[in-house]
Amino acid sequence: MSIFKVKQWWSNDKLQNEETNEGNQNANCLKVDKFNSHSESDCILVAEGALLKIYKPNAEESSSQILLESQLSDVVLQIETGKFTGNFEDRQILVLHPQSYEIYHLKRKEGHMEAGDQNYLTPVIKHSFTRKADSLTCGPFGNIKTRDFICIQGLDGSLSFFDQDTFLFMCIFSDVIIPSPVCYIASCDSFVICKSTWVLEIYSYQQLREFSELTIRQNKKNIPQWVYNAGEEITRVQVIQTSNNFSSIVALGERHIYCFQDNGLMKYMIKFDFIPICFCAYLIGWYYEPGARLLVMVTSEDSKLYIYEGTTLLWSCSLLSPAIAISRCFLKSLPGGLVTLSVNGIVNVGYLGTEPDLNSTAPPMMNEVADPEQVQKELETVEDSLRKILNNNEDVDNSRSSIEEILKIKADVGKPVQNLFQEFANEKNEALHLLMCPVVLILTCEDPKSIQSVQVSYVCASPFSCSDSTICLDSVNGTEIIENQVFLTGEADISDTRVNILITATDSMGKIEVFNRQVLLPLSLYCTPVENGAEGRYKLRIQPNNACIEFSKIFTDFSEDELRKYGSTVTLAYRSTKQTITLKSEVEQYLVQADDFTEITAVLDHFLIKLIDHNMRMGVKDFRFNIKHDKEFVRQLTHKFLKCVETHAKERNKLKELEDELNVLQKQFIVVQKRLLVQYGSLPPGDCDPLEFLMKDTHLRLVTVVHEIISCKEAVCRAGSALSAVGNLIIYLLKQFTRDELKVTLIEEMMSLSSLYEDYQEWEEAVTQAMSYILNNVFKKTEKDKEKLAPVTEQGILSHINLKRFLKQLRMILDKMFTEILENEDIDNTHKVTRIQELVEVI
Amino acid sequence: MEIEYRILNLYKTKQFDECLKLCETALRSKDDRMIEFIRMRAMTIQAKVVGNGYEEVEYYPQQDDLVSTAVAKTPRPGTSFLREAKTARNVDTSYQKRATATVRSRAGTNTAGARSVRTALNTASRMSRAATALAGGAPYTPGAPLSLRFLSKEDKLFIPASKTLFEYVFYCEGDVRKVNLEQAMEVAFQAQKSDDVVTDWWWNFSLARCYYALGMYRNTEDCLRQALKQNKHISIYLRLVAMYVGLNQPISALDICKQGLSVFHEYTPLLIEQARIHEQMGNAALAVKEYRLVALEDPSNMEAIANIAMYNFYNDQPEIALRYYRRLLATNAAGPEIYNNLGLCCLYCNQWDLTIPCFRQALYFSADPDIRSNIWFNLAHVALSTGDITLSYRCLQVSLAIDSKNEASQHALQALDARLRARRKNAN
Repeated sequence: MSIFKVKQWWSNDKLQNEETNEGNQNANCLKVDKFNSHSESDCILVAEGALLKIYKPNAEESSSQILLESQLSDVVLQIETGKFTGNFEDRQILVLHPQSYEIYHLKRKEGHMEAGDQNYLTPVIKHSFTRKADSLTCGPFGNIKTRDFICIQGLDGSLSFFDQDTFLFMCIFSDVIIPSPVCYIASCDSFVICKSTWVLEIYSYQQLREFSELTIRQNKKNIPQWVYNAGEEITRVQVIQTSNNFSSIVALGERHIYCFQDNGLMKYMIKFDFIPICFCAYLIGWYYEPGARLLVMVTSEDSKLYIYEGTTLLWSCSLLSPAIAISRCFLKSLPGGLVTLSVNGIVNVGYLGTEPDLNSTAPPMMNEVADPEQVQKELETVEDSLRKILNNNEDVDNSRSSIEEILKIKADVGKPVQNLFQEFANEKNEALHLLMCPVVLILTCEDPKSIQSVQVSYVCASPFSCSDSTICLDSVNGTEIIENQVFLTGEADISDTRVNILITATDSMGKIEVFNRQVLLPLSLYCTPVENGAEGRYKLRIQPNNACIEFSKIFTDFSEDELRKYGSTVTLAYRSTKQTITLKSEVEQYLVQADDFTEITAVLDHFLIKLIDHNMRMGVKDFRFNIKHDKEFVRQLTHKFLKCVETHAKERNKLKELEDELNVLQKQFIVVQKRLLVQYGSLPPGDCDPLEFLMKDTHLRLVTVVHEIISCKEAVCRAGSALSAVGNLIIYLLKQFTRDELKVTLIEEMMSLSSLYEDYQEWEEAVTQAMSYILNNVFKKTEKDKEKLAPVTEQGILSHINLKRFLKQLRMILDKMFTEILENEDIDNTHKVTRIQELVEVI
Repeated sequence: MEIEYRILNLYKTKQFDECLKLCETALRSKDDRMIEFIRMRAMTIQAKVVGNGYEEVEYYPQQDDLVSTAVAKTPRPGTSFLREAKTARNVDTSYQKRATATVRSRAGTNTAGARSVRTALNTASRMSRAATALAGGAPYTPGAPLSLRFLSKEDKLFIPASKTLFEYVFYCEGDVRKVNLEQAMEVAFQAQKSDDVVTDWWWNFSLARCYYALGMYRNTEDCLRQALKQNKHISIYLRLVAMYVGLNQPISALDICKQGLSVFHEYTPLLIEQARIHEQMGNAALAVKEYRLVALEDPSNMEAIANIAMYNFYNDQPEIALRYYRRLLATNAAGPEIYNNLGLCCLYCNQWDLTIPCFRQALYFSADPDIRSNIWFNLAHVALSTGDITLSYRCLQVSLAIDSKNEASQHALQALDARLRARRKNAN
């Protein structure tokens, strides 16, 4: 805060012991006073532990700075000076020990030479007491002019009064827990007493004397002269006479300093933004002169010194070391010195110097002179390379391909294994969890330095789940094999049986590249072959262009024996839903039949992929197949899909209602709590029973609603799975039939079935947006249709009317797509004949 | 030396860490009420320091989650900060785009310098900070003072102990969970009930602190007003001001400032509050007048000087601003903001040789991406004033690379881009 520092003039740090004992140094053990035997300058009295030291610093190197060092019998708590006995002219030294006090007289025996002077202390009075002392204050109590009385505060806050070596009386206060400062005000013969209630109380000496008698007799209240409620603990108090009639009381709190006149009038109060440690108030001029100025020096925890006059900051500077006590001294060659005592007993004498050390805090500027031409050249080369990167994309592309070369990726699935290690608490899903399928990813990299980091993310559609969704590698050194487990988590329909693996690699240049790998989960993870069931309601025929193959060759996940016993008809049951699907191989075609569409998707997908795969392995070229279907099938499919959407929306509506209810309930809960709190606190306490009942009831309802929400969420997820299963089947069929690839892609993007993911179920909202585009641009609706089916903007997508329109639009799109296909097929059939003819001609 | 005296010495000289350690050892061997209380006090003070408990004025945004007692959200025109800010921005946008960008960025970085004066970290709530401080530093045995909490009010120790107890519960145990705050309030209520001295302002003040932390502003106001009737303590004024500022009622806050200043003449914390409020309301001239008063009373007040410097800078007196900033640099720890401001002053004072070194120094000190981005923006401005558009372009790109949300840089880059394109078109 300031550019100034205290100039050091003298210090006893060379005379100090190296080792310090924590808490040995008492802040009350610094006193500066003048004695007759050393009248030319002040002496500094310091006690550290039981060691009393008296210094008389001077500028000359040769002469002794230390007058006396004396090991006393007990720990010193405080040093005071004053006239404690009437018959000495000089000021005496009072030393307070925990259970006694001693009064000494400082004497000097002059030697023959200057160095031969001898100083010694003669004990005058010694008095012991039983209560443990904390601090003392002294002065001419009761306006006795001849000598100073002594008031000792015990650790329990009691005040004992002594005259020389006689005990006078004692006051006991019950409201002191930690002893706080006590100070005597000479001008009005009163005491400032700080209590643990953080109140400053002023009692007159007379009052205290009466009080001591009162405590013995009866428990009568003793009302102080005046009080000030500081609201914080008072740590130091100093009383200083500022005019003929008045003294000022300066009290230091935790963050404030208060200054009062002794009649209770507050002069000022300062709030510090630092932690004050100690202070010293002093007068410039004499108190009997009108122009005397009261200044206060305050030291802070970060060893700064602030000097205030009133509330105005006059000077601030840095002390060289933190001080726990501060005082002024008048030495022979240094009038107006500053004495500070540090924690380890080091006394420093200094003065407020000027000659600031400018820019002491600022580090040296990094201002090396650069040649402008050279800088310009550097700038140009940088510009050049920047331009190259920005304009010539080939440069970038070259290095991009290199990442792929550096990092070899291989992904594979293993056989599902029984998971015997984990125990599952909820017995319901136990059977599902038991099967786990390892997904293995092998990353190979020759040069470990060329890859900075690799992140692998697994994406699979619910109800599948991965044991780790993301894995991060800091480096790929040689070959890394990552194994991840995929398992079923719930009883939902299976819509997608692929696991998408995304590999994000950062190369040494910081370039980021994303690779994608897909693996197909084995059928045995989610299906088991069972006895043939009844005929399914829905049938789908697949006509390959060569003869049918045995199922055991296609479904390689199951052992041959397992399938062979079923012959040409295989029925598979899903592990999650326990539904079945039957595949039949007839001579020319495969027949897929199931009770519901949701079952068809996963197995059909798997079957077709395996079929193609098998033919590839057999070396059959030009393998094609055709999926036969009829109008009825398509109609049912569309119907089912719309049904699924409706269920999903309904479940979501239900969930939303529950969530709203939860919101209301929890607000209510908090309001009730608050009311209750006010009731508890009010005077007198109000009737709490109804509110407590209300609170408990609300809590009960909260719990039930939360449980409902959990089950509802599961239902939504299930509906979502069914929806995406049927949706995938539709997309699959569309892809098989249509020639217009763009349209199918658009429809697929519109349906965005992959966006349905666990907690994220806001599918309807997403599709509505895309659908309006498809309707307007792809199918070119008339204006009238648009208006009729446009969602009502002021209501949510899930509202009754909007949902109806949504479904209608969806039906329209699907119908259009399928009718187009059927029309195409009709045309194809007529054209087929001619095509064959053309073929013949070519041959 | 007996351990209790050592503890007392450490406590009175404010060496709390050592004090707590000794207390721990002392309490292990014997049960002493005084030592237990000293430990409680030491922990409280440490928590208070870390948690900014002494700072009566905080400018953290109020979080009113489900507060039914919150006050109305739509203030009358002219009585809130929000409206003022909005109009200020409107004026800005009516400028040409390029001009606004530079002007605003200067405002941004300059105020950064001034604001950093406020010591408060406005990230975490102060309660949690205090709690973590304790967990890290002092040996913390939460079970120990529990016995004290259940002092019955018949106990003769209750009255002297209650304030210590309250502060302990409020600062050391009153972490984010409001439950503990409620406990603190319970202590307060009990104390108030048992206290035959109902006139103790401190309890009203402390209740206000609780209410404030709970977000119950109406009750806070009542309590503070009551406390003010009992004692005119500076903390009450500051709390009231802070509360009104937090509630976005600057007129009431100014009123409190005026009342306070009539009791404590020329009192710096109040003057600073007044100046801050005026500044925030857009009344820069009045604010700077008050900042000058503060600087007269307390010449080491950094915030006042920084604000005066900023005022001069915008008042087209960069030379004078430069002198103030140099004084700040001499007396305070160096930081990125001060060098940034010095660099800008140098630029406008035509001291070309010092401009770049100042910015270089600023970049050296800066760690915060916000500030770094702003410094690069200012460098773009420097480059522009030397006529090097390409360099300026690059500087802006660096600025955006560091902090892509820097609005000023975005605008400036857009403007530069448009200009470059127009130039190319002309050339063609």
